[in-house]
Amino acid sequence: MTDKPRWVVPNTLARDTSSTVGLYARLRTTLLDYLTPGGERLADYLGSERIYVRAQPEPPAFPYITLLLDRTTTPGFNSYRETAVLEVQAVGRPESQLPLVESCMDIVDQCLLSLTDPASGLIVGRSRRRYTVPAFTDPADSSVVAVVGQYDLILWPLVLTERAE
Amino acid sequence: MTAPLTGYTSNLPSDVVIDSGVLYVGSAVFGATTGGLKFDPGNEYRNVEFDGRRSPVRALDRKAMTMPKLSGTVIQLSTTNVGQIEPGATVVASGAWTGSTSYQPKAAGGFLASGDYLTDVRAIWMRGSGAYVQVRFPAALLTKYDVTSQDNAEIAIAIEIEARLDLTVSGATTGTSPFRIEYLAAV
Repeated sequence: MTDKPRWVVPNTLARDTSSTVGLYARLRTTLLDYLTPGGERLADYLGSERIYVRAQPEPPAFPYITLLLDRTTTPGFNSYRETAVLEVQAVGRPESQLPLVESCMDIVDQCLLSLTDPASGLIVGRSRRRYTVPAFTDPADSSVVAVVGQYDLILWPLVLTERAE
Repeated sequence: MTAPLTGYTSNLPSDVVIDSGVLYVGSAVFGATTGGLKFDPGNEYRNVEFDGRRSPVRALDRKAMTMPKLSGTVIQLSTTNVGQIEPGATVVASGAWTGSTSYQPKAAGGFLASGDYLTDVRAIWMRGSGAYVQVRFPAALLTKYDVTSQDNAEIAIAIEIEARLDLTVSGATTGTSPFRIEYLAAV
């Protein structure tokens, strides 16, 4: 079975906030480019590709990360400012990948909790909720492990603010 | 279709100021804070009054007083902080609790020594561009604090730091502002 490219952010896409897809691309690149003080990158665990939007291609290679954005307009800014929740889900299999998945999310934590990106509009991240998914029971696959982080972002995306310029 | 009127400009992403800021004394962090820092320049203007005046008149304003103040809430109390919140406090052996390091606040009545003042108190905020803006008091005095402990939370030490004009600085007069607003690339 071949990859389903609709779930993968193409590398050729403009990584800016002038569109929602571009916003995903920018966040994905930000995560992949982030270098921890200890010299680690997500690519060390995921390769350069395995961060997807919404769901992974079939067949999945583990571990991988999926991204989902939930955006809300902030009252009082004439709809130019948003708050968003970026749900980052790191998934591994078999169960022994749990430490790997937790380590991936530690890097995501570091990256997104200190994020200030004014290069295209403005993206700021400072807080999150994170939890490890309990073990599944039959009929689900109990060998799948996952950690979910929900990151609160402040957005001034070009897709909205370009109307004001 | 007309877009809503807004204060947004393309400079916002780089000029916006983010986060609560950090309080420094010299090159050292004063301590972790909660709830953000507040700066009040304490400017007081007087507009010359005269018979027949019906509203404040342009070019008749005079800055009469400035009382710059930084305030915030600190959540830690180090031995260094003791000397900062109690200017001139000294370690004493006489009357100390057994086994303790005892700091005795400065005696009331006399003038503070120049060394009792804080030097280069800075409230530093990050801008969207990744650069910084700071309010700096070259000389300052922590004039007020109180300590409140809380259930299931860090201690809260509310502090107020006022700028003090240093008249020993070359060129300083009684009208010189005792604070600066400064932009810097790195902290």
